[in-house]
Amino acid sequence: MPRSLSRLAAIACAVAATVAEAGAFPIRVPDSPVPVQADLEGKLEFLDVERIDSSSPYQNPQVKLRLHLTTDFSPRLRFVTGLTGTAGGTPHNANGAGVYDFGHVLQEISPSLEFGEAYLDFHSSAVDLRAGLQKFAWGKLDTLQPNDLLNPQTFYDPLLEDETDRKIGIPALAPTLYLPSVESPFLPEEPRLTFVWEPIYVPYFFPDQNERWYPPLARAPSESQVMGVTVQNQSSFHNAPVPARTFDNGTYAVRAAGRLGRADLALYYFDGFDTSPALDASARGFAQLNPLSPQLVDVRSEVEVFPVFQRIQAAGADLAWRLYDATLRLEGAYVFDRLYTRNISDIIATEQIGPIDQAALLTGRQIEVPVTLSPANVRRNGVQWGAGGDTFIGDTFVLLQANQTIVLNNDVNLLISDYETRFSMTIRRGFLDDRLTAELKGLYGMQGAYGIAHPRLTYSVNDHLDVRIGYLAIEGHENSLIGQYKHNDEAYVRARLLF
Amino acid sequence: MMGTNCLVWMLCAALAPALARAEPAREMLDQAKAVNDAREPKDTSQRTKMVLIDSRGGERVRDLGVYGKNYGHRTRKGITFFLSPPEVKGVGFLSWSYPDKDDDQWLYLPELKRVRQISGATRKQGFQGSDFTYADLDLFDDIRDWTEKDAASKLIREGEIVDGVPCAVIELVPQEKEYEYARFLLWLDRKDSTFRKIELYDKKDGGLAKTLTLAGFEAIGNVPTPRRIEMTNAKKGTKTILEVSDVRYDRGLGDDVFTERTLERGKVD
Repeated sequence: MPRSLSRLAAIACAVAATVAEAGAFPIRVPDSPVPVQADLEGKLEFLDVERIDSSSPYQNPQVKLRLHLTTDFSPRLRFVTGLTGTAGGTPHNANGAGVYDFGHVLQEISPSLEFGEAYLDFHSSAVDLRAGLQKFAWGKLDTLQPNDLLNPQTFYDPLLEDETDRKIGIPALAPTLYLPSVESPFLPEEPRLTFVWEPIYVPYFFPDQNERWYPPLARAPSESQVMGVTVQNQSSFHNAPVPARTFDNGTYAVRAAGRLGRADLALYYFDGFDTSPALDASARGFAQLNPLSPQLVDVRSEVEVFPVFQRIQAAGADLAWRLYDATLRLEGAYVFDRLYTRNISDIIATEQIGPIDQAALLTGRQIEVPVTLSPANVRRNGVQWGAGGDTFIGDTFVLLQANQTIVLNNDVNLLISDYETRFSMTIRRGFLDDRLTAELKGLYGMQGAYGIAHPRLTYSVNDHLDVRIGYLAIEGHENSLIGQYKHNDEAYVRARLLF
Repeated sequence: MMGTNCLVWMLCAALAPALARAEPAREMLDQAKAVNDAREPKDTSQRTKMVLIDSRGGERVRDLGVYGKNYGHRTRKGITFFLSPPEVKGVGFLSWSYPDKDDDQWLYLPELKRVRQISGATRKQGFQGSDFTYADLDLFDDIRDWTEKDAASKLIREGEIVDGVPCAVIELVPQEKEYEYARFLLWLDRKDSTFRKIELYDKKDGGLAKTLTLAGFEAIGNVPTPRRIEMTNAKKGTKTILEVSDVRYDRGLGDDVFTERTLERGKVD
């Protein structure tokens, strides 16, 4: 382990040991009739990933300290703060320490500090109001929720990091109105309406192209054939200006929820920038007569990959209900104007170089030539939906789910199929009086013929410490969404201290 | 004719002891129910320390806030929050029980920030690693409300001492197939109409599955309240101990306490 990492790990452990006894403690504020109650808790995690294929990008061991402070000023007013400090992991070659900001997709900082949550929570009988940096969990399906569109995510370790930990807090104002129940078989009970206004756009965090989970398909091939000419390519990943910080670029979302009979249901509307990543590329070309064979021309291109930001609207719904011994969940969303990535080989095949200034070329100097890349994405309307259920078979928890993305009115080859269907499952069982949990998570993409198998064992040493070992196996066609990571099989160990 | 009359008399003679015992058992239970109904609080809140003892003697401790409200006619709502340790802190459980249909139950998991409806099959699973299943948590309220139609009763014996108190031992055989237990033995304190011990017998092999003991009774208001509840799992060799404190009755908990909103909030004001 690098010396700086072990030093930071020691500091983190000392901090954790100090706060381990913190728990909840009252703070007496002068002139306040009620003591303020502050409750501090946290997690200290150590993660080490070992690649199975040594040609895949390396990932540093990582130490992460998450602190969560809840301060109750009164029964009605609470302040919640969440802070995460990370050392190691991604990025592999950081530019130094820093605090994550809301203006960049690519932020190569390590050690790093991230403010995950910092919001005021006001609670009354008819209205709740949350204001500040916060995370939302909308939708009812497992893992892939078509209506969970509010929070962008970090994509440094998308398959190992927990869903809520991956989410980036967004500055938002979120009132929830609790409406009176009306006794009617056609109207829901406990109706509530949540509005969310995010005044400025917050981008997702994406790894650099040398990092383990950067999509290989977003890296230009080292060599390509363009108009009969062999082109040597170099690619790099850069930031792009995020949408301007104006109210026009804010996000608006609504959720209406309630119970109808024995089913929990909700309706959603979202209008804002898509929190799913989309990338595009531009290129500069250079040509020079080959010094050894002047009848040949050496052509190379410098491809710059950068994030693009697209505003979408989505209208959706979800439903959960019990049926005999199972809980069933259904969710769907119609998404307007989402960007879908084109098939990479089509983008390369339509690349154009030229015209080349022959006179300049004959001077023997390197000259710049125009390179035209067709857009990497197309805008389409689509439907995302899923259905799943879970139950216990004996002592074994079983969850099965199907998700489908339907791209409408499409006439272009995409990275995904027009009817991209994925099946996922989770099987979990406890042993040794529930101290040991064995779990198998799997995913299979029908059209893309890709799959992920993720078995893991978690042992609770005591109420404060657990250790997990796991294995991630990825298989599939290299030109598919998941199959492109087929060389990223890995084994890992994670130790977690809770306090 | 003489032969038939003789047979009828013989049958009556054989059944008389059984009939004589069944009636006192039902009377005892009905008397206890009447006493408990009269003093049953409309709502309760309490702090519970749950000690999980595994088969090797290892202990894990959970701290819970438990709230309940009784709506009459066997309709109840309950909400429970885990206050410690960090591993389970913030987990919330909400239950609505009905007399004529399956319970509705929800679980809030802070790591997902989501409320999930729990499937019916979950009810047979241990409640957060304890020896109480989710179904058991409602069962003990159900037992008090059972009529003879719900469960056939029989007095086994009287005067057995449990925790220094003479008790009547009553057998109950539930008539509904949904329960995981074939029969129950209840130790009923006739003096204050409280159950001191319950044995639960497995439906599969008829053997003893679990034993529940209630001790340390203290009158809070006019409600005898056990301070210590132990559930021993005879088959697994495990035990769960509940130590009850900060008990309050009739504090006026509103219906809005027993909602998904409160579950997500993680506390009752």
